[in-house]
Parts: sequence; C-alpha cells; structure tokens
Amino acid sequence: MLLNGKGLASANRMDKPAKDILDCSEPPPMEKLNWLMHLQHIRGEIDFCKKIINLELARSDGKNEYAFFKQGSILKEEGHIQEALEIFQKCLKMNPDNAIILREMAKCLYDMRRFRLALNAYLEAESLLKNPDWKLCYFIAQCYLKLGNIEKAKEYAHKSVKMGKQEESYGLLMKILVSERDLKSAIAVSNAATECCPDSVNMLTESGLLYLKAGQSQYAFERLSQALALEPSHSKALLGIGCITMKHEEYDVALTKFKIAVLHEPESVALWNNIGVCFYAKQKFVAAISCLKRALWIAPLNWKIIYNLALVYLATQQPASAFNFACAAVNLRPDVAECFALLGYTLFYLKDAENALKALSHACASAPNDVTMTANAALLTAVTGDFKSVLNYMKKYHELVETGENVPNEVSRLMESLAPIHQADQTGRADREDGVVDINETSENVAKNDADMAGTEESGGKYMEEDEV
Amino acid sequence: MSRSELSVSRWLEAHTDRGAGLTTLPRNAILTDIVGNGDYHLVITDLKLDNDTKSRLKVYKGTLMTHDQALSNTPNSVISFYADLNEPRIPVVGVACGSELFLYKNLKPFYKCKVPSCPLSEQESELWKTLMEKQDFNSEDIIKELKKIPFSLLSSRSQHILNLESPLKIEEYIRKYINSMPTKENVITCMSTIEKTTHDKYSVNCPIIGTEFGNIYILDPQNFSILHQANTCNVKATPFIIECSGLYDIEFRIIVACREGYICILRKGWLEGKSLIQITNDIVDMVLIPGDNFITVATADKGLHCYTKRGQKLWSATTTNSITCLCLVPLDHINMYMVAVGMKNGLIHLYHGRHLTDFTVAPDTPSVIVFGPVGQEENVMVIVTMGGTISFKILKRTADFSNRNHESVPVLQGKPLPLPKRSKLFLEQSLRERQSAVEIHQTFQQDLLRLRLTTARALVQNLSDQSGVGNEKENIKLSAQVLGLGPKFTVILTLENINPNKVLTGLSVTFHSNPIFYTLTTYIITVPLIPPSLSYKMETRVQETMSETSSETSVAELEPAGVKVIRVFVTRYDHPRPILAATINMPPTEFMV
Repeated sequence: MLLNGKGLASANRMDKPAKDILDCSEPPPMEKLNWLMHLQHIRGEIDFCKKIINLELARSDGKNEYAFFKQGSILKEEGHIQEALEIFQKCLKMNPDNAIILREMAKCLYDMRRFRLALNAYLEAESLLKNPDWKLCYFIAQCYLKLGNIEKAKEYAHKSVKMGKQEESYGLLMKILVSERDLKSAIAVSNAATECCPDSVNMLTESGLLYLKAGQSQYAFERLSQALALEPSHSKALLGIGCITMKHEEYDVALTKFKIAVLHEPESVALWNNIGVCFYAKQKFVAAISCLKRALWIAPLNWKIIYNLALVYLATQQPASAFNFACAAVNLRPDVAECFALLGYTLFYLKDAENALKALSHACASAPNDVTMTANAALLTAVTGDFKSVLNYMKKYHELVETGENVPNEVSRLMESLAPIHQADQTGRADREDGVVDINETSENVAKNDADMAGTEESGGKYMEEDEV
Repeated sequence: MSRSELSVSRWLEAHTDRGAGLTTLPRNAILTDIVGNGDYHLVITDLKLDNDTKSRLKVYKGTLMTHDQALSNTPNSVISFYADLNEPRIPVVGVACGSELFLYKNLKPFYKCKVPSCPLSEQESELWKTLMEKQDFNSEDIIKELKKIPFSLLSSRSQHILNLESPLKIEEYIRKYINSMPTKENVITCMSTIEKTTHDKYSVNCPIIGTEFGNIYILDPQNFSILHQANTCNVKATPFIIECSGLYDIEFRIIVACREGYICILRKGWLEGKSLIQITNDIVDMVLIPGDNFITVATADKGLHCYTKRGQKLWSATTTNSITCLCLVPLDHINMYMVAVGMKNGLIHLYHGRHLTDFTVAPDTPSVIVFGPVGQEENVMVIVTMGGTISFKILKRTADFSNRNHESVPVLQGKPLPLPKRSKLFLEQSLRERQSAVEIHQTFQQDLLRLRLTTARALVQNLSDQSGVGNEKENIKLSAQVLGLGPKFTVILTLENINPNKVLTGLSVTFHSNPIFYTLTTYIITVPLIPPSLSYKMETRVQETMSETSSETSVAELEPAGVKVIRVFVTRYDHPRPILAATINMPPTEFMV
C-alpha cells in the first residue's frame, strides 16, 4: 500500500529517485503548509503566520482556502471585523458548503451586532452540517437571546447542553432561565452542571449564587465553600459567602472574606457596598461612608449604594446629607417604597413633619404590608396631631400583627408607647412630652429598620452585579 | 513564592547560544541516543521558508553542533524509535516532510516512505484516464471539465493547470504529464510513536502519522508498511498533535488534538476515532501524563486544562502569559511528572498537577522545550526560542520538589483595606451638620431653587435670543446680523439649508416692523433655491425714523425689555403659517451731538 521509494542506498539522492523524474516535478500540494499556518497562528506568531499566508496565496494564485480562512481569523482577532468578513465571504465563494466558514462569518456578524444576519448564517451552517455540534447550538441560542426570542434561545440552549455537556452551554441556559425568573429550573440545571464539571469554580459559584437567590443559604454556602476550596481567591464566591455570613450577623467574618475578594477585584461595586454595610453594622460609620462613597464613585447611578449612604448619614446624625441621598434614591427608583420611607425619615429629622408624612404615606401606599413603615407612619401622624390617621394606621398595624407579620421588638415597644396617644385622642390633646420620647424612640426604630434593610439590600446589590456578568 | 525560593533556582544554566539562529517548531526537537553508546544527542530541525535556503536537520552533541544536513522539504516533526532488537541498539530518526517520512539510522538516510495519496474524485481520474488513452486533447475542454470539480478536491497538478493563464502553457503542461495519473498528496501534519510489545526504554516502537485529510496511519517499524489505518473522527478534523499510551499489540489509546478544537481518541481496532473533548478555544499544545493518562491541554487563551482519559475535566488554570509550548518533565528518581509550560516573554512554569511548583526563564519566548538526558547528564531542559536562541539548563540533582504551599489565605487576610484616613475637614463638616442640620438643609434647598430658577431663566433667554434660530423639521437655520450705528442700519440675514440631501425652494422672507420706528428698503424678499448644506445671504437697509414725538408717544408699543425690534418671518408660498420666525433686537441709535 505504501508507495515507498525503495531501500535506496544512495543517500544524497534519496529525494530524487531515478524511477520517475516526471512524478517528482508534480507540483507540491496546496495544503503543504496548512499545519504551519495553524501552528504559528495559535502560538501568536502573527507576523510569521502572515508571511506564510502571503507565500501560500501567491503560490496557489489566491486559491488556498485555508490560507484565506486563517487570514480572516487573524484579521478578526486584530479587530478588523469588516475586512475579516470580506475574506470569509471570499472563502465561502470558493467552497459554499463549508459550515465552518459560515460559522466564522456568523461570529463576525455577531461581533458587529448584526444579530439577525448572524442568526441566519448560523442556521444555514446548521442545515449544512449532518450532525450539528453543541457549539453551533450555543451560538444560535446566543443570537436568539440577543434578538429577544427567549423560547427559541431556550430550545437551542437545551440542545447544546444535551449534545455537549459543556460549561458554557450550562451557563447560557442558566442565564436564560434566570432571566425568565425560573429559579427552580435554573437550580436544577446548575446541579447538572456541577455534576458534569465538578471542578469548575464558575459553575459551583453560579450554582451557589442561584441557591442564595432562591433563599436556600445552606446549599448556597456548601456550593460556595466548594468553589473557594478550589480557588481561595475567587472574588464572586467570596462575595456570595460573605453575604451569607453577613445575614447571620457575623460581620467580622464577612469582612475578612470581602477583604480578600477586594484585593483581586478592586473595582467591584457590590464588594465595596457590602464592605460599607458591614462597617455600618459594626458602627464604624466613617469607614462605612468611605467604602460606600468608593462604590458610588464606581457606579454613580446605583440606587442601592445611595440608599445605604443615606442610612449611614442618618446614623451619624447628618440628616441634611442623608436627605440628598434619599432624594437621589427616590428619583432613581420611585417604585421602591423603602426609598420613600427613608426620605420620610430624613425629613422627620429635618423637622419637616408635613413632608415627611407625605413621603411616608406614599411609601405605605406602595407597600401596604410593611409593619415598620405602618408603625412609623402612625408615629408621624401622632406627632403632627392628625389623630384620625393615627387610628387608621394603628388599626392597620394590629391587623398586620394578627396576620402573623414578623414584628421586631423595637417596633412593638414603640407601638405600646403610642397606645396612650391612641386613647388621648378622645381628650383631643396631644401630650407634648410623649412626642419627644417618641422621637428618640423612632430614631432607634429607624436605625433598626435600616439594619434590616441593609441586609436585604446588600444581597440585592450582589444580585445586580451578578446579572451584569 | 517566598523570597528564598526566588533566589535559589533549581536549574543550572549550562549553555546559551544567542546566535544559533534556529527556527525550530514544537515536536521538532528530540533527545536520542543516536549512535547507541548511551550518549544522548539533541536532534532538531531548522526550518527555512525561503526558496533558496533549505531547511536543515541538526544534531547537537552536548552543546556543540556535530552534524548538519539539508532536508528536501519543510520539516513537520521529528521522531526517534528503536526499529528492531539488533545489537547495538541504534534508534531510527524519522523526519516528516510534506507527505513523506524520511528515516535515518546513524545519521544516514536509509529509507523513505510516502503516505498513500488520497483518492481522486471520479470525474478527475476519468478525465486523466481518457487523456492517457487518447493522447490528444483540447485544452479548453479540459479546463471546462476541471472547473466543474470543486477546486480543493482536485489534485495539485490539475489545480496548477487551472491557475495557468496562457493556453499555450496549459497545453505544454498537460503534455508533460499526460503519461501518468495525477496523485493527490496527503500531507503529514503530525507524528508520534507507540511502543509495540513492551514498556521498556529500548522497546520497539511503531511510528504513527496523522495527515491533512484526517487519516491516522500506524506503521510497521521494520518494513514501514501500514499496520493500521483509521480516520481521526466522524466529523472533519485535522490532526494537529498525536499522543499515545499503551502497547500496540495489546491495547492502546491514541489521543489526537485537532485544529478544529476536538480531542479525539482512537483505540485498538477502531477504524474511526471518537471525539472525546471539544475545546472552545484553539489548542496550542497537548501532553499526555504517563501513569494516570491525564490529558493536559494548553489553549490560546492562556488556559491550561487537564482532563481524564475519559474526557472529564479535572482542573483548569490560567497562566500569566499566553502559552507557546508544553513539555513533559518526567523525574524518574522521585517518580514525578511535571509539565513545563513555555510562555510569551520567556517565562517557563513547571506545573505538578494543578500546582505551580517551579519556574525558570528563557532568553525570549520559547518555541520548543525538550527535557531528558543530554550526554551523561540525566535531566536537562533544552529550549529553542522564537528568536533562535538555544539554551541548555540542567536540573540540579539536589532539586527538591516536595510540596510547598504558595501564598496561603491567612497571609492574604492580613492585608488591611486601603481606606483613606478621616480628614479634619470631614470631621468638622460632619460636626457642623450635626449641630445645624435644619439650617443647612433649608439654605441648601433655597439655593437649589434659586439655581433652578436662574437656569430656567437662562434657558428662556436663550430660546428667545435672535441669533441662530433654526427649524429642525424644515432643516433651515436663520441668523441675523445688524451693522451700523444708526440711524441707518443694514440687516444681513443668512438662511442656511441644513439638510445635506435636499434643496430648499419656494421660500420667502418677510420683515415686520413698527413703521413709527423704522422704514425698510424691502419688506419681502423671495429666496431662490438653496442647494443642500449651503446658505443664502440677503440684506435690507433700515432707516430709523427720527421724530422726537414718536419715540415718546409710543412707549407702549415698545417691547417689554425696552428695545425696538424687527421681526422676520420665513414663509413658504401658499402657507399662511411661517415656518420660522425670529425677532431682531435693534441697537439704539448712538446720537452724535
């Protein structure tokens, strides 16, 4: 079978056996140096590679498909996407049935943000291939996602996962499911992913964060610890685990986690926000302010940081600054009741009870089931002397307590101290002194309320961060 | 890594030749006992792409080049293996060039084998068959026939014919070849060897060849006939690196890394490989760790990944620079396998499993690294860099690779957060705010309101300003200029067409002023066609009526601000509503007394 050049003894002539000189002058095959082009390309020896490409294109009179293909790939890597696309088109003209070229073209189009065209190219590639691979399905899913066709995207992501069991496809599918708020399925997928790639730090972290989102912090903690065991400085996992420890009010532990993470990711908004919240919980307000300010500097429009800053300023008895931040938070997110409530509290401190009441009643209207807000609203109305509303709010409060809302101690204490006023309204006279006591009381109550907020807040902040990734 | 580790290297710099000028690619350097006396030599190829200089096969004894011979074609890879059991045991060196494998023994070429060529497409072989029979042809017909077949499927001969331009040359060319059938050569893209019957330093090995069209051939080490032939994968996959484990006669696995990112596996008796792993990024290099048969793959995105032989991912690491080559570093005396990772800028990291255990540096980016015995020395690393330097490093016999933890977590935790110190100003300000928060708040709010008011005013002022009025919808812009000190003025209007594509037609300009104050030379100007992006200038003279009485009596008719105005309307024919209106504030006449 092997066409060997027989056991020639003549050493120096071995490349030209006398047998058939004609055969030897057969032109060298076009694919002669394909391997070299590829090798030098992937090793980043672009200049060398370009030289070979030019030589090969000259030798084959511009017909070497692989040389063109490599040229296109290099151009694409160098950021000349339009030129790369043109080269790939040339390539495709030479060999219209090459799905790989089609795929590269689609990638170019995708990079140019022409998702519709990219999708068409991918679909054509899919129809050309006998057995499409997971990568293609993954890309198609990505395109559909960009085009907003979630159903199709999910279908292809599923396909991709089934075919490849690759980390990327799992990640995409999880992203799609999370965007649909289908946390349960997302967690199921993440479990499959961690089973499939038990050593993938990213998948472990993703799965941990999903559990965290679903509120199952025990599982989340397990997954994140696994991830950290593999890579002790993975900042995302550290953030997640810090968040869980924060929820358990172990702020020092959380801080050590964040400290490691922040060394590796000094520009993470969520990290600085959480560090700030930790300091706040430890009553180190100056540090809290500087951390939150740093976070705000990185993300000036993040309402959660602004909200937290307002809280800290309230705690340091700087209601004027707090008001500004609360105001900004309200402007950014008028739909969040807590922002309005906070604005109300700051106004209360600024002795503008009327506007405070307005803000708080707005907050109560948009979140009617919040115990603390109702209690605070009752207090405020008592201070302004609107006893009819006090009654309303008290009634509401008792209703909420009866329906089994979790009432913090401080809130119930406040409400007990308010009870006399409730009766006093019969006499039609507000006890001045009572009011003063209440103000002190409220400040504590507000602070307490804040700590709660900060907790939920913080995880919220982290989620936001995650969505971006 | 601690400082003490940095200062004491485990490697001795034996020799570095910066002027060697070598171009050696991965898998083109081997260490082998070339003469059979236990003195290991380095065999490398030196690739040259120019037409006038040939690539060379070079042999180094120790650090000295002892042998240098030309190669007929671009070398792809070099292997060495024991072909027989004859004493003295002298290995065969194989160099793959193009579609041929050249075999050397004692540095003398003794055999050449050629990879079987690919089958031609039916149409093409039919065409050449008829040509051979008839010995007569019409070159135009042949070109037409050849063009029907996809270019990449043609033999190189036919491709060449299609590339020729003059019909005369084509005829000459065809005549030259008319007596033989064309062949489509199958270029060798990678090579390796596999032990035949025993695991042993001197065991007989079979060469394995991977080709451009995806074929894998296992050759007999004695007569170089094909023992086994298979395809790489069921999809299009071009072999790029071949690694194997096991024994050919018993059971073996051939792991093939492909250009397309597949890692395929081929086992005994299989006619077609199976895709084991699919890697998203380009594979730069791959080594197989003996023992566990873990597959370690370097990718173009600085990734180092390890998979089990079943294709499950074990771990991934990210390197500091992009990887250019890998090399297995077996340390038999401590029964340990490490992987040397050559990176851009000359850093070489040694990984044991996923842990970085040691590093050393090369003068510049390593192109190929080999590790093994050189001369009498057991553990030598030879590095040929992209810049052509050859460098020998000896691993110290005292080198200790026992586990040493790198930067542990507690060390990291010791670092405090980079927080700024609280400044005096900050404290003072917060103190003041605590004392008089309400006042600060109120002042701030007042000032804020004032600022808003001023802004709003400025906006209104700006809107009513006469200069540069425009109508975005109609794409016209009007600006006015008043020249003169009075009582005679010249008003120059410029009407600009902002639309870069359309012309403006059918416009006219009307001036409106209180006749008590001003008399104008023209009150209506018909505007001619204005081409896109151009403007048209028109002027009118204004005479202020200088009657003392009028200025006093008609104070009521003055503009609120107390200035006299002329109004300008730009209208389109037949439309009563002006498309643009502007007010020109006229300057007061400077009376010269």
